[in-house]
Amino acid sequence: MSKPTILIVDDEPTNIQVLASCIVDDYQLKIANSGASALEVLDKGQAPDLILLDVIMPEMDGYETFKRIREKTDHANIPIIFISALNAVEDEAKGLELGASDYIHKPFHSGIVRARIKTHIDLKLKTDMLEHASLTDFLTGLPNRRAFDKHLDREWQYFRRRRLPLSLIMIDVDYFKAYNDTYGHMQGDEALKQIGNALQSCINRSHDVVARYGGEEFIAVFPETDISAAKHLASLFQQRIFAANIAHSASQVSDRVTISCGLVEVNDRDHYEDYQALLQEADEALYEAKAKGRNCIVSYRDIGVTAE
Amino acid sequence: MNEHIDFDAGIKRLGGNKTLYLQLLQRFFDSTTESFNSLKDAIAIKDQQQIKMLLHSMKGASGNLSIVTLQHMLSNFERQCESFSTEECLIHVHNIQQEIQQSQQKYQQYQSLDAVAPSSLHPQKTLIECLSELETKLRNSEFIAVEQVLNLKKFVEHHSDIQTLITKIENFEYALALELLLGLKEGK
Repeated sequence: MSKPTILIVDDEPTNIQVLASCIVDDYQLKIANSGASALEVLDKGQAPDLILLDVIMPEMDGYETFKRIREKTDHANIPIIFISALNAVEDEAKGLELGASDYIHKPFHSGIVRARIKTHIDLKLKTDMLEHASLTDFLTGLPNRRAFDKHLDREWQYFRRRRLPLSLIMIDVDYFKAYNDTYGHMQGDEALKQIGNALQSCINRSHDVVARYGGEEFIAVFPETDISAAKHLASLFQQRIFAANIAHSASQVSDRVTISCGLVEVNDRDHYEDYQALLQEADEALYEAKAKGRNCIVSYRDIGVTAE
Repeated sequence: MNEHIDFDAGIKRLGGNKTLYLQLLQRFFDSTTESFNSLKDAIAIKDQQQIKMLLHSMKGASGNLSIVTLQHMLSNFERQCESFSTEECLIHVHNIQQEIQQSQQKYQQYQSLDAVAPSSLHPQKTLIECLSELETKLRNSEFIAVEQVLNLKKFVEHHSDIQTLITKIENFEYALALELLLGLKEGK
């Protein structure tokens, strides 16, 4: 397991060296010598597990840096400890009232610094673990519905800014109740794991996400993807599930597990209030795919026209 | 007695790394001339904010290095500087500079009693290998870059820009150091 990462923000090289030497054996350290530089470090890389932030710095002080970091959604939960030679009670109170996890006075005692940092890192890692568990489907390891809704919300905001097409694919495993009745729920769980793996294997871009939406239903979002590319991806989903070759003697459309897909695309010509309408349309397209005999792909725009 | 500098406390704060502690003390004393020039400039134009900033910065560094008497003097000066006249400020600066000289003497005495072990270099690495390793660390703002400058020191006499690069890294100006390093790699 890799070491937790700590970002040290201080304009004084000596302070960085002294602080780093206390903790370098236990953590991976990143350095920023100003508030602006700290924001750049946070923007360009993986978020650290903790930030040690000096208060008095030229141009942007620690309090302002703190506020700017907190404004960024992705960094809102990183614990921040102020380390400062401002030793008045009011200074400490101000830092803690802002929302800092802790406030350490300079010159510091190395043992106390290490102990306090460890406390906050342990807490952060446990919080991360719980957060991860709350966003992951325990059976398939895919993002769960809650995680998907959060992701879709972010991508929806991105779509509203950029007006580049976004596609959703809703997926249902054909005759899955019959599968469970035939093979039992344990085997049904195994099948869902295999299906999840097969769907995930089609995802190549970091912003594309496939999730388990509930029961035998999966869902995928593809930003900057038009309907024709989405149809190709839905077809790829079908091919990979077929290739997984999960026997399904109770299916009425194949001798192995198959899926039905409902597609919807939103582009710059559409005027949706929110993404709920999009989900509704994807669901209707999926319903239509099932009505047309399953193991097929239906685009919402094609409902009433043709099914593929 | 730990007059001027509490060596034991300073070394303890650095996890017992005496070599690093003595290096940091030397670097601190080397940097004070520039800091005091800036401080005198700020006093001359009565830039209270800059005066406090500089005093605060030196106070923090001296405290972390356990240069105890100096830290105490800087702390008092920082607390009261707004109420001081320019002349009073300059008297304090003079007193503080004298204290720095005494601290420096103390440091030199201590150092002569306890010679610093030579740094362990890696003679097998070429300049380009050292620079490539550093580039990755600088791009990721990793602290460890500062520990890798040891590898560069043997190249200083053949490449004058290397010393500038080392200084930038030791001051944790990683973005500027990266620019300089890329220039060196391209042979500019």
